[in-house]
Amino acid sequence: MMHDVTVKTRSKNVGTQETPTGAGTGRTSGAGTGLYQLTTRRKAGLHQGPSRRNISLKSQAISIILSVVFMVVMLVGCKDTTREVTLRDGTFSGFSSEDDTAAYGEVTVTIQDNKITDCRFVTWQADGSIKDIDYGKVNGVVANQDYYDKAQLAVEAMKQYAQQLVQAQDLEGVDVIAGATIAYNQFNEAVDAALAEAKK
Amino acid sequence: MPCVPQTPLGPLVSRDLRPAPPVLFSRPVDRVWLMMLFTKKKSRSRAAHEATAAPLKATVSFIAMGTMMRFCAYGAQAQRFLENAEATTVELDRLLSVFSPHSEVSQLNEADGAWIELSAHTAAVLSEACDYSAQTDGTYDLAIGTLVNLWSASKQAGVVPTPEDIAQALAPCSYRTIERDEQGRFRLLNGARVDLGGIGKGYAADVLCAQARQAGVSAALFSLGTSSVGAWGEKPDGSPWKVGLKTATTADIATYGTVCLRDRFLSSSGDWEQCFVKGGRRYHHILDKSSGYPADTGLRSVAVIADSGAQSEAYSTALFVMGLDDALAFYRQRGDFEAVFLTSDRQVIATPKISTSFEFTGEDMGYHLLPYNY
Repeated sequence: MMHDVTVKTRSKNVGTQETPTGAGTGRTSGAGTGLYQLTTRRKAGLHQGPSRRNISLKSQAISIILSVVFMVVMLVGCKDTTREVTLRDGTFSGFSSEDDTAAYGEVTVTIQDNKITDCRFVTWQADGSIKDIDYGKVNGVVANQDYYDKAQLAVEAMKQYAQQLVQAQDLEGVDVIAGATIAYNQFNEAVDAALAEAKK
Repeated sequence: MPCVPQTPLGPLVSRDLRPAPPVLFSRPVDRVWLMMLFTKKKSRSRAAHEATAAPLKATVSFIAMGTMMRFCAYGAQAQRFLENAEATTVELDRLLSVFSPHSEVSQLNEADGAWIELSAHTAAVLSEACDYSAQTDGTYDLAIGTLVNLWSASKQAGVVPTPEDIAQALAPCSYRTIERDEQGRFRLLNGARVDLGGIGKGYAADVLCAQARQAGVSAALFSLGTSSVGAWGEKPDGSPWKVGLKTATTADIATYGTVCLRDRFLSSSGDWEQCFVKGGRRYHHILDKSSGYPADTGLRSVAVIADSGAQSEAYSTALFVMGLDDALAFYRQRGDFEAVFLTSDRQVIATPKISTSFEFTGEDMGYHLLPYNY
């Protein structure tokens, strides 16, 4: 049963680790590492060096090496900024953690040419069903119209989240939305997980 | 020898690089490369000093305080820090929740006026909440538990409470019924009940940001459900945390603006949360103590930005209940917070000092940004 499979692969998102904003920034800190190591080595060389003349020659040589290293680093850096984060082609899923009713979100994104071409968001409930046209019914019937309408509004909202992601290609360009619902937070979390898969 | 001025280099080089011997960067060619490196992107100096431990990002999501928590942090210790942060939040929930009969707050509520000894956290939240209740003249009031319980039961049953029920529930609703003795114990008089739902998440944000500072985490963002956000530090690229402000509807997730936060807190109160409809009227969860009914002041949402999470959360309720005019008068009187208001006629007003970090984006959706002195 498909549901069983998803439960197995689902994990609480504790400790998902990634570079901050993708390859570009990762490369930047790489440049920092290079600089740090070179200056440290150079420092060591200075202390061992026998004369000032020798030091001057050494520092000239090292300046040139530093220059070349920086040039390479910056060229790589430039290339990175134009390419930005690369997403693999394919279909990727991500899951959210559970809410207070043990329901969790599943996002499936389709990537083509580094773009999100399709996004689907469903919420799995504790009984193994998804929140759809029956969500808000009690034993298969609409017991309370107000309750059912509200539930269906939530289902409609879930579709909108997915459509908006395809249109905007990112999550509103903000780190968090104050006042967002649990469903939106689950969507957000599942999108992060799915895109992290696509970046691997 | 051509003299390259020292000043452009100085402030851009992070402290960790400075101890290197001066001869290292004394040659003009070195300086040129360094300047190019550091001026291309200012944040590189920070990236360089964190280079030994490249900024890792860790995230955690979980349910606590009746809502969803989403935390994220950068730094070598980020993952372990977030595990501790989750434990802290769960512990605070255990102490402060009115939904758990064993919480310290429930013990205080059930004590029937007896003195109760409380842990440091619970005592601190209660003290802060009493201060904000007094400052806002009871428009935010922690001792509103009996009224909250009445409306919760009404929502569950789908009925509107009678004026008699409301008058009865309102009687003990005042922060003045809370007493603290010299030993730090608390008691409630007149059958009053405290509800920390309007301050607990903001207080938790304060505690978590303080922990992030102590743990040496370079940056962290704490989103505590629908109400409070705590932002510590800045992202590894040197930019501040960006918080979207949501329009006043349940269904869509459209935002009408963003606020940039650095070492600050934002809490919002909106009338579309936890509401129910009866007889064509909508009843929401922000209660006005002066009437006993949900506040009806022409505001849909208030976001408060402050240096304290507890203050921002308590004030967001208070300003919502005051209404726009009184809220702006209160702002001018205090001056220790900033706010963004969304009115029921789709107008947005931001206080002057926040305008540099607030970006209005709601024009396409028919929202209007009004000047502060509208």
